[in-house]
Amino acid sequence: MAERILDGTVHEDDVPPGYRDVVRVLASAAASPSLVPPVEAATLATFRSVHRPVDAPRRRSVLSKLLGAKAVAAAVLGTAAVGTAAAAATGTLPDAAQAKAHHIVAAVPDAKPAGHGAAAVTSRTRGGAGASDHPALPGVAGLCQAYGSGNGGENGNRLDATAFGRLAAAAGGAGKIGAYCRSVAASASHPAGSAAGGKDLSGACRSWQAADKDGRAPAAAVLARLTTAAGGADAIRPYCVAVLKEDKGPSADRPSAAPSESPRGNAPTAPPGNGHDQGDRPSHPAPPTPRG
Amino acid sequence: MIGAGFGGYLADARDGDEYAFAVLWRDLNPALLRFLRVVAPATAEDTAAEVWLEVCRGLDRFRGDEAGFRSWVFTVARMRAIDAARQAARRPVRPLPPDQLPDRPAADDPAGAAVEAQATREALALIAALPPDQAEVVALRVIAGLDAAQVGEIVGKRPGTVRVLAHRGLRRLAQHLAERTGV
Repeated sequence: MAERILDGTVHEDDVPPGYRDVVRVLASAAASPSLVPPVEAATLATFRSVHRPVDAPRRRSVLSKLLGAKAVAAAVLGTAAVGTAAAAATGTLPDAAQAKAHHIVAAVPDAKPAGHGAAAVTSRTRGGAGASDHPALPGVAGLCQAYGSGNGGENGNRLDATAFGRLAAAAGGAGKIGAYCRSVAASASHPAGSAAGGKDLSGACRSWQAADKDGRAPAAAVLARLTTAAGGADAIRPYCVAVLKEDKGPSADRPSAAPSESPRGNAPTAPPGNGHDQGDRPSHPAPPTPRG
Repeated sequence: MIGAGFGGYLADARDGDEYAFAVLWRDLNPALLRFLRVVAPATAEDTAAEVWLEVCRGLDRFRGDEAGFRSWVFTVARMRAIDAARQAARRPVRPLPPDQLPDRPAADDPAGAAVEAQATREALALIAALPPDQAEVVALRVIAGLDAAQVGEIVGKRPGTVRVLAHRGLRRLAQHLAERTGV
Protein backbone atom coordinates (compact mmCIF):
# COMPACT_ATOMS: atom_id res chain seq x y z
CA MET A 1 0.00 0.00 0.00
CA ALA A 2 2.74 2.44 0.96
CA GLU A 3 4.48 1.86 -2.37
CA ARG A 4 1.26 2.54 -4.22
CA ILE A 5 0.76 5.74 -2.27
CA LEU A 6 4.26 6.79 -3.24
CA ASP A 7 3.57 5.84 -6.84
CA GLY A 8 0.44 7.92 -6.71
CA THR A 9 -1.55 5.07 -8.20
CA VAL A 10 -4.06 4.85 -5.39
CA HIS A 11 -7.10 7.03 -4.81
CA GLU A 12 -7.56 8.66 -1.44
CA ASP A 13 -10.81 6.73 -0.91
CA ASP A 14 -8.90 3.47 -1.11
CA VAL A 15 -6.41 4.06 1.69
CA PRO A 16 -6.80 3.72 5.46
CA PRO A 17 -8.41 6.86 6.93
CA GLY A 18 -5.16 7.97 8.55
CA TYR A 19 -3.47 8.16 5.17
CA ARG A 20 -6.06 10.14 3.24
CA ASP A 21 -4.42 13.44 4.03
CA VAL A 22 -1.05 11.95 3.13
CA VAL A 23 -2.37 11.03 -0.31
CA ARG A 24 -3.70 14.58 -0.70
CA VAL A 25 -0.44 16.16 0.40
CA LEU A 26 1.63 13.98 -1.92
CA ALA A 27 -0.71 14.76 -4.81
CA SER A 28 -0.20 18.47 -4.16
CA ALA A 29 3.53 18.00 -3.95
CA ALA A 30 3.55 16.17 -7.25
CA ALA A 31 1.38 18.78 -8.96
CA SER A 32 2.93 21.44 -11.12
CA PRO A 33 1.64 24.87 -10.24
CA SER A 34 0.55 26.42 -13.50
CA LEU A 35 2.52 29.51 -12.62
CA VAL A 36 5.76 28.79 -14.40
CA PRO A 37 8.43 31.39 -13.72
CA PRO A 38 9.58 33.10 -16.90
CA VAL A 39 13.18 32.00 -16.82
CA GLU A 40 13.10 30.04 -20.02
CA ALA A 41 14.87 32.74 -21.97
CA ALA A 42 17.74 32.68 -19.51
CA THR A 43 17.92 28.92 -19.63
CA LEU A 44 18.00 28.94 -23.40
CA ALA A 45 20.78 31.49 -23.37
CA THR A 46 22.73 29.13 -21.16
CA PHE A 47 22.00 26.28 -23.50
CA ARG A 48 23.16 28.35 -26.46
CA SER A 49 26.39 29.37 -24.82
CA VAL A 50 27.25 25.84 -23.77
CA HIS A 51 25.83 23.87 -26.60
CA ARG A 52 26.65 25.58 -29.84
CA PRO A 53 25.40 23.59 -32.78
CA VAL A 54 28.47 22.44 -34.65
CA ASP A 55 26.83 21.82 -37.97
CA ALA A 56 24.49 24.76 -38.16
CA PRO A 57 25.31 25.78 -41.75
CA ARG A 58 24.66 22.34 -43.12
CA ARG A 59 21.45 21.96 -41.21
CA ARG A 60 20.16 25.22 -42.52
CA SER A 61 20.76 24.41 -46.10
CA VAL A 62 18.43 22.10 -47.93
CA LEU A 63 15.33 21.73 -45.87
CA SER A 64 14.90 25.27 -44.70
CA LYS A 65 15.53 26.75 -48.12
CA LEU A 66 13.00 24.39 -49.54
CA LEU A 67 10.49 25.26 -46.90
CA GLY A 68 11.27 28.92 -47.14
CA ALA A 69 10.44 29.14 -50.82
CA LYS A 70 7.41 26.96 -50.80
CA ALA A 71 5.91 28.28 -47.64
CA VAL A 72 5.47 31.71 -49.19
CA ALA A 73 2.99 30.08 -51.49
CA ALA A 74 1.39 28.44 -48.52
CA ALA A 75 0.99 31.79 -46.83
CA VAL A 76 -0.69 33.31 -49.88
CA LEU A 77 -3.07 30.44 -50.35
CA GLY A 78 -3.91 30.56 -46.70
CA THR A 79 -5.89 28.09 -44.71
CA ALA A 80 -7.83 26.79 -47.69
CA ALA A 81 -4.65 25.16 -48.85
CA VAL A 82 -4.07 23.32 -45.64
CA GLY A 83 -6.59 20.61 -46.25
CA THR A 84 -5.14 19.56 -49.52
CA ALA A 85 -1.57 19.90 -48.44
CA ALA A 86 -2.61 17.89 -45.51
CA ALA A 87 -4.16 15.09 -47.45
CA ALA A 88 -1.01 14.80 -49.44
CA ALA A 89 1.07 14.83 -46.36
CA THR A 90 -0.69 11.94 -44.73
CA GLY A 91 -0.23 9.63 -47.65
CA THR A 92 2.51 7.12 -47.51
CA LEU A 93 5.60 9.17 -47.04
CA PRO A 94 9.21 8.20 -47.25
CA ASP A 95 11.02 7.88 -44.01
CA ALA A 96 13.38 10.76 -44.23
CA ALA A 97 11.90 13.81 -42.61
CA GLN A 98 13.24 15.96 -45.37
CA ALA A 99 11.19 14.07 -47.86
CA LYS A 100 8.15 14.40 -45.65
CA ALA A 101 8.52 18.11 -45.46
CA HIS A 102 9.03 18.24 -49.18
CA HIS A 103 5.79 16.35 -49.77
CA ILE A 104 3.83 18.58 -47.50
CA VAL A 105 4.98 21.77 -49.03
CA ALA A 106 4.99 20.53 -52.57
CA ALA A 107 1.32 19.80 -52.22
CA VAL A 108 0.48 23.38 -51.49
CA PRO A 109 0.56 25.01 -54.94
CA ASP A 110 -2.00 22.51 -56.21
CA ALA A 111 -4.40 23.37 -53.47
CA LYS A 112 -7.98 24.04 -54.40
CA PRO A 113 -9.88 26.28 -52.05
CA ALA A 114 -12.51 25.09 -49.64
CA GLY A 115 -11.68 21.41 -49.53
CA HIS A 116 -13.35 19.56 -46.73
CA GLY A 117 -10.02 19.41 -45.00
CA ALA A 118 -9.97 23.16 -44.83
CA ALA A 119 -13.37 23.17 -43.23
CA ALA A 120 -12.14 20.73 -40.68
CA VAL A 121 -9.22 22.94 -39.92
CA THR A 122 -11.07 26.18 -39.63
CA SER A 123 -14.02 24.79 -37.74
CA ARG A 124 -11.76 23.26 -35.20
CA THR A 125 -11.88 24.80 -31.79
CA ARG A 126 -9.20 24.01 -29.37
CA GLY A 127 -11.29 23.75 -26.19
CA GLY A 128 -11.73 20.42 -24.49
CA ALA A 129 -11.02 18.58 -27.65
CA GLY A 130 -10.33 14.94 -27.03
CA ALA A 131 -7.67 13.03 -28.86
CA SER A 132 -10.26 11.37 -31.02
CA ASP A 133 -10.75 14.45 -33.15
CA HIS A 134 -7.16 14.76 -34.23
CA PRO A 135 -7.69 12.59 -37.29
CA ALA A 136 -9.87 15.40 -38.60
CA LEU A 137 -6.66 17.32 -39.11
CA PRO A 138 -4.61 15.29 -41.51
CA GLY A 139 -2.50 18.27 -42.51
CA VAL A 140 -1.41 18.82 -39.01
CA ALA A 141 -0.49 15.19 -38.64
CA GLY A 142 1.79 15.57 -41.63
CA LEU A 143 3.32 18.75 -40.34
CA CYS A 144 3.85 17.12 -37.00
CA GLN A 145 5.55 14.25 -38.68
CA ALA A 146 7.93 16.58 -40.41
CA TYR A 147 8.28 18.69 -37.33
CA GLY A 148 8.98 16.12 -34.71
CA SER A 149 10.18 13.12 -36.63
CA GLY A 150 12.47 11.04 -34.51
CA ASN A 151 14.86 10.34 -37.34
CA GLY A 152 17.46 12.38 -35.59
CA GLY A 153 19.72 14.74 -37.43
CA GLU A 154 18.09 16.44 -40.31
CA ASN A 155 14.46 16.78 -39.42
CA GLY A 156 11.52 19.02 -39.62
CA ASN A 157 12.28 21.10 -36.59
CA ARG A 158 13.49 23.51 -39.19
CA LEU A 159 9.95 24.18 -40.31
CA ASP A 160 9.93 27.82 -41.24
CA ALA A 161 7.76 30.52 -39.75
CA THR A 162 4.69 29.93 -41.90
CA ALA A 163 4.52 26.19 -41.51
CA PHE A 164 5.35 26.59 -37.86
CA GLY A 165 2.64 29.20 -37.51
CA ARG A 166 0.05 26.87 -38.93
CA LEU A 167 1.09 24.18 -36.54
CA ALA A 168 1.09 26.62 -33.65
CA ALA A 169 -2.41 27.79 -34.58
CA ALA A 170 -3.69 24.23 -34.60
CA ALA A 171 -1.96 23.47 -31.32
CA GLY A 172 -3.28 26.57 -29.63
CA GLY A 173 0.08 28.20 -29.13
CA ALA A 174 3.69 27.74 -30.09
CA GLY A 175 4.51 26.34 -26.70
CA LYS A 176 1.95 23.59 -27.08
CA ILE A 177 3.19 22.16 -30.35
CA GLY A 178 5.21 19.41 -28.78
CA ALA A 179 2.39 18.11 -26.63
CA TYR A 180 -0.09 18.59 -29.42
CA CYS A 181 1.97 16.67 -31.94
CA ARG A 182 2.53 13.85 -29.52
CA SER A 183 -1.18 13.59 -28.93
CA VAL A 184 -1.77 13.58 -32.67
CA ALA A 185 0.72 10.76 -33.01
CA ALA A 186 -0.80 8.99 -30.04
CA SER A 187 -4.34 9.17 -31.33
CA ALA A 188 -3.16 7.89 -34.67
CA SER A 189 -1.50 4.84 -33.21
CA HIS A 190 -3.71 4.25 -30.17
CA PRO A 191 -7.37 4.81 -30.88
CA ALA A 192 -8.84 5.53 -27.48
CA GLY A 193 -11.44 2.81 -27.73
CA SER A 194 -8.92 0.06 -28.16
CA ALA A 195 -7.63 0.56 -24.67
CA ALA A 196 -7.99 -2.78 -23.01
CA GLY A 197 -7.78 -1.42 -19.55
CA GLY A 198 -6.64 -3.82 -16.91
CA LYS A 199 -7.74 -3.38 -13.34
CA ASP A 200 -4.31 -2.11 -12.60
CA LEU A 201 -4.90 1.02 -14.59
CA SER A 202 -8.40 1.77 -13.43
CA GLY A 203 -7.08 2.92 -10.06
CA ALA A 204 -4.60 5.16 -11.80
CA CYS A 205 -7.37 6.43 -14.03
CA ARG A 206 -9.59 7.19 -11.10
CA SER A 207 -6.90 9.13 -9.33
CA TRP A 208 -6.13 10.94 -12.58
CA GLN A 209 -9.78 11.88 -13.00
CA ALA A 210 -10.02 13.01 -9.39
CA ALA A 211 -7.00 15.22 -9.86
CA ASP A 212 -8.39 16.49 -13.13
CA LYS A 213 -11.72 17.31 -11.53
CA ASP A 214 -10.07 19.25 -8.73
CA GLY A 215 -7.87 21.04 -11.22
CA ARG A 216 -4.69 19.59 -9.75
CA ALA A 217 -1.99 17.95 -11.74
CA PRO A 218 -1.94 14.19 -11.18
CA ALA A 219 0.96 12.48 -9.46
CA ALA A 220 4.01 12.04 -11.63
CA ALA A 221 3.85 8.27 -11.48
CA VAL A 222 0.17 8.17 -12.45
CA LEU A 223 0.91 10.48 -15.31
CA ALA A 224 3.84 8.38 -16.40
CA ARG A 225 1.85 5.15 -16.37
CA LEU A 226 -1.14 6.59 -18.12
CA THR A 227 0.93 8.48 -20.66
CA THR A 228 2.56 5.24 -21.60
CA ALA A 229 -0.68 3.30 -21.61
CA ALA A 230 -2.67 5.90 -23.52
CA GLY A 231 0.17 6.73 -25.86
CA GLY A 232 0.38 10.38 -24.95
CA ALA A 233 -0.52 12.84 -22.23
CA ASP A 234 -3.35 14.34 -24.23
CA ALA A 235 -4.86 10.93 -24.87
CA ILE A 236 -5.28 10.10 -21.19
CA ARG A 237 -8.77 11.56 -20.84
CA PRO A 238 -10.46 9.43 -23.52
CA TYR A 239 -8.29 6.49 -22.57
CA CYS A 240 -9.44 6.60 -18.96
CA VAL A 241 -13.06 7.00 -20.00
CA ALA A 242 -12.65 3.83 -22.02
CA VAL A 243 -10.83 2.00 -19.26
CA LEU A 244 -13.35 2.86 -16.58
CA LYS A 245 -16.30 2.12 -18.83
CA GLU A 246 -14.82 -1.26 -19.52
CA ASP A 247 -14.10 -1.71 -15.85
CA LYS A 248 -17.75 -1.31 -14.99
CA GLY A 249 -18.86 -3.34 -17.98
CA PRO A 250 -20.68 -6.67 -17.90
CA SER A 251 -17.63 -8.86 -18.38
CA ALA A 252 -16.90 -9.30 -14.70
CA ASP A 253 -14.72 -12.32 -15.29
CA ARG A 254 -12.09 -10.45 -17.16
CA PRO A 255 -8.60 -11.79 -16.54
CA SER A 256 -7.45 -9.91 -13.51
CA ALA A 257 -4.77 -7.29 -13.62
CA ALA A 258 -2.55 -7.46 -16.61
CA PRO A 259 1.06 -8.00 -15.63
CA SER A 260 1.78 -4.72 -13.94
CA GLU A 261 4.07 -3.23 -16.48
CA SER A 262 6.00 -0.36 -15.11
CA PRO A 263 6.76 2.21 -17.77
CA ARG A 264 10.08 2.93 -16.22
CA GLY A 265 10.89 -0.39 -14.66
CA ASN A 266 14.03 -1.69 -16.19
CA ALA A 267 15.23 1.35 -18.01
CA PRO A 268 18.92 1.24 -18.62
CA THR A 269 20.17 4.30 -16.87
CA ALA A 270 23.33 5.61 -18.28
CA PRO A 271 24.50 8.91 -16.94
CA PRO A 272 27.26 10.46 -18.94
CA GLY A 273 30.77 9.66 -18.00
CA ASN A 274 32.68 11.33 -15.29
CA GLY A 275 35.26 13.18 -17.26
CA HIS A 276 34.52 16.82 -16.93
CA ASP A 277 36.58 19.16 -19.02
CA GLN A 278 36.07 22.01 -16.65
CA GLY A 279 38.11 21.41 -13.59
CA ASP A 280 36.47 24.25 -11.71
CA ARG A 281 33.29 22.45 -10.90
CA PRO A 282 32.81 20.22 -7.91
CA SER A 283 31.94 16.57 -7.96
CA HIS A 284 30.07 15.07 -10.84
CA PRO A 285 27.00 13.02 -10.01
CA ALA A 286 28.54 9.64 -10.64
CA PRO A 287 29.80 8.85 -7.15
CA PRO A 288 26.72 9.24 -5.00
CA THR A 289 27.51 10.83 -1.69
CA PRO A 290 25.17 9.88 1.11
CA ARG A 291 23.81 12.89 2.86
CA GLY A 292 24.80 13.05 6.49
CA MET B 1 6.59 12.86 -19.27
CA ILE B 2 7.28 13.46 -22.92
CA GLY B 3 6.74 9.89 -24.04
CA ALA B 4 7.31 8.59 -27.53
CA GLY B 5 8.87 11.76 -28.90
CA PHE B 6 11.55 11.93 -26.24
CA GLY B 7 14.33 10.33 -28.26
CA GLY B 8 13.78 12.80 -31.08
CA TYR B 9 13.85 15.81 -28.80
CA LEU B 10 16.95 14.54 -27.06
CA ALA B 11 18.76 13.97 -30.35
CA ASP B 12 17.78 17.42 -31.57
CA ALA B 13 18.81 19.08 -28.34
CA ARG B 14 22.16 17.36 -28.67
CA ASP B 15 22.47 18.84 -32.13
CA GLY B 16 21.97 22.25 -30.61
CA ASP B 17 18.26 22.66 -31.28
CA GLU B 18 16.97 25.18 -28.76
CA TYR B 19 13.36 24.33 -29.22
CA ALA B 20 13.99 20.67 -28.49
CA PHE B 21 15.95 21.61 -25.42
CA ALA B 22 13.11 23.86 -24.30
CA VAL B 23 10.75 20.90 -24.59
CA LEU B 24 12.97 18.87 -22.27
CA TRP B 25 13.30 21.82 -19.92
CA ARG B 26 9.58 22.55 -19.77
CA ASP B 27 8.79 18.95 -19.08
CA LEU B 28 11.21 18.45 -16.24
CA ASN B 29 11.90 21.84 -14.69
CA PRO B 30 8.70 22.11 -12.60
CA ALA B 31 9.41 18.78 -10.90
CA LEU B 32 13.06 19.73 -10.52
CA LEU B 33 12.12 22.96 -8.76
CA ARG B 34 9.70 21.21 -6.46
CA PHE B 35 12.32 18.63 -5.57
CA LEU B 36 14.85 21.37 -4.82
CA ARG B 37 12.32 23.23 -2.68
CA VAL B 38 12.28 20.15 -0.47
CA VAL B 39 15.99 19.44 -0.28
CA ALA B 40 17.46 22.94 -0.70
CA PRO B 41 14.63 25.40 -0.07
CA ALA B 42 16.72 28.55 0.20
CA THR B 43 18.55 28.13 -3.07
CA ALA B 44 16.11 26.14 -5.21
CA GLU B 45 16.05 28.50 -8.23
CA ASP B 46 19.80 29.06 -8.31
CA THR B 47 20.49 25.40 -7.90
CA ALA B 48 18.06 24.55 -10.70
CA ALA B 49 19.97 26.91 -12.99
CA GLU B 50 23.21 25.14 -12.10
CA VAL B 51 21.61 21.79 -12.76
CA TRP B 52 20.53 22.84 -16.23
CA LEU B 53 23.97 24.24 -16.95
CA GLU B 54 25.45 20.89 -16.11
CA VAL B 55 22.78 19.09 -18.13
CA CYS B 56 23.64 21.30 -21.13
CA ARG B 57 27.28 20.40 -20.75
CA GLY B 58 26.67 16.72 -20.32
CA LEU B 59 24.01 16.30 -22.98
CA ASP B 60 26.46 14.96 -25.55
CA ARG B 61 27.62 12.20 -23.27
CA PHE B 62 24.22 11.16 -22.01
CA ARG B 63 22.98 7.82 -23.30
CA GLY B 64 19.61 6.48 -22.31
CA ASP B 65 15.87 6.83 -22.48
CA GLU B 66 13.51 9.25 -20.80
CA ALA B 67 13.56 7.44 -17.46
CA GLY B 68 17.34 7.48 -17.59
CA PHE B 69 17.32 11.17 -18.40
CA ARG B 70 15.08 11.90 -15.43
CA SER B 71 17.34 9.85 -13.18
CA TRP B 72 20.38 11.69 -14.44
CA VAL B 73 18.87 15.16 -14.01
CA PHE B 74 17.80 14.36 -10.46
CA THR B 75 21.19 12.86 -9.70
CA VAL B 76 22.78 16.13 -10.76
CA ALA B 77 20.15 18.03 -8.78
CA ARG B 78 20.91 16.14 -5.63
CA MET B 79 24.65 16.73 -5.96
CA ARG B 80 24.19 20.43 -6.61
CA ALA B 81 21.79 20.68 -3.66
CA ILE B 82 24.41 19.11 -1.41
CA ASP B 83 27.02 21.56 -2.74
CA ALA B 84 24.63 24.42 -2.13
CA ALA B 85 24.03 23.29 1.44
CA ARG B 86 27.79 23.08 2.07
CA GLN B 87 28.32 26.50 0.61
CA ALA B 88 25.49 27.93 2.67
CA ALA B 89 27.06 26.48 5.79
CA ARG B 90 30.35 28.17 4.96
CA ARG B 91 28.88 31.50 3.94
CA PRO B 92 25.46 31.91 5.48
CA VAL B 93 23.16 34.32 3.69
CA ARG B 94 19.89 35.63 4.94
CA PRO B 95 17.36 35.24 2.13
CA LEU B 96 15.16 38.21 1.38
CA PRO B 97 11.57 37.52 2.44
CA PRO B 98 9.36 37.01 -0.62
CA ASP B 99 7.09 39.92 0.29
CA GLN B 100 9.99 42.30 -0.21
CA LEU B 101 10.61 41.15 -3.75
CA PRO B 102 9.11 43.11 -6.64
CA ASP B 103 5.86 41.65 -7.93
CA ARG B 104 5.87 39.57 -11.03
CA PRO B 105 3.39 40.19 -13.84
CA ALA B 106 0.20 38.23 -13.36
CA ALA B 107 -0.35 34.92 -15.08
CA ASP B 108 -3.60 33.99 -16.77
CA ASP B 109 -5.42 32.97 -13.64
CA PRO B 110 -3.65 34.55 -10.67
CA ALA B 111 -6.25 33.53 -8.11
CA GLY B 112 -6.42 29.90 -9.13
CA ALA B 113 -2.70 29.72 -9.55
CA ALA B 114 -2.19 31.20 -6.11
CA VAL B 115 -4.42 28.62 -4.45
CA GLU B 116 -2.75 25.84 -6.37
CA ALA B 117 0.70 27.17 -5.64
CA GLN B 118 -0.20 27.55 -1.99
CA ALA B 119 -1.30 23.91 -1.73
CA THR B 120 1.89 22.81 -3.45
CA ARG B 121 4.03 25.02 -1.24
CA GLU B 122 2.46 23.64 1.91
CA ALA B 123 2.85 20.09 0.69
CA LEU B 124 6.52 20.67 -0.11
CA ALA B 125 7.08 22.28 3.27
CA LEU B 126 5.51 19.28 4.99
CA ILE B 127 7.82 16.90 3.15
CA ALA B 128 10.80 19.15 3.79
CA ALA B 129 10.04 18.99 7.52
CA LEU B 130 10.72 15.24 7.54
CA PRO B 131 14.17 14.02 8.58
CA PRO B 132 16.48 14.78 5.62
CA ASP B 133 17.01 11.20 4.46
CA GLN B 134 13.26 10.52 4.49
CA ALA B 135 12.42 13.84 2.84
CA GLU B 136 14.88 13.21 0.05
CA VAL B 137 13.60 9.74 -0.69
CA VAL B 138 9.93 10.73 -0.53
CA ALA B 139 10.60 13.71 -2.81
CA LEU B 140 12.42 11.59 -5.37
CA ARG B 141 9.70 8.96 -5.34
CA VAL B 142 6.73 11.32 -5.45
CA ILE B 143 7.94 14.49 -7.18
CA ALA B 144 10.53 13.10 -9.54
CA GLY B 145 8.36 10.05 -10.15
CA LEU B 146 11.27 7.63 -9.85
CA ASP B 147 10.97 4.10 -8.49
CA ALA B 148 12.77 2.68 -5.47
CA ALA B 149 15.60 1.20 -7.55
CA GLN B 150 16.27 4.46 -9.38
CA VAL B 151 16.11 6.43 -6.15
CA GLY B 152 18.52 3.94 -4.61
CA GLU B 153 21.02 4.59 -7.39
CA ILE B 154 20.75 8.32 -6.91
CA VAL B 155 21.14 8.38 -3.14
CA GLY B 156 23.55 5.46 -2.94
CA LYS B 157 21.31 3.16 -0.94
CA ARG B 158 19.76 -0.22 -1.55
CA PRO B 159 16.17 -0.24 -2.87
CA GLY B 160 15.07 -1.95 0.34
CA THR B 161 16.53 0.86 2.39
CA VAL B 162 14.85 3.39 0.16
CA ARG B 163 11.52 1.68 0.76
CA VAL B 164 11.99 1.65 4.50
CA LEU B 165 12.91 5.33 4.55
CA ALA B 166 9.97 6.25 2.35
CA HIS B 167 7.52 4.24 4.45
CA ARG B 168 8.81 5.88 7.61
CA GLY B 169 8.38 9.22 5.92
CA LEU B 170 4.78 8.44 5.06
CA ARG B 171 4.05 7.28 8.59
CA ARG B 172 5.52 10.42 10.01
CA LEU B 173 3.55 12.56 7.59
CA ALA B 174 0.36 10.76 8.57
CA GLN B 175 1.09 11.31 12.26
CA HIS B 176 1.89 14.93 11.71
CA LEU B 177 -1.28 15.55 9.71
CA ALA B 178 -3.41 13.71 12.28
CA GLU B 179 -1.98 15.85 15.06
CA ARG B 180 -2.58 18.99 13.06
CA THR B 181 -6.21 18.27 12.29
CA GLY B 182 -7.05 16.37 15.45
CA VAL B 183 -6.43 19.21 17.89
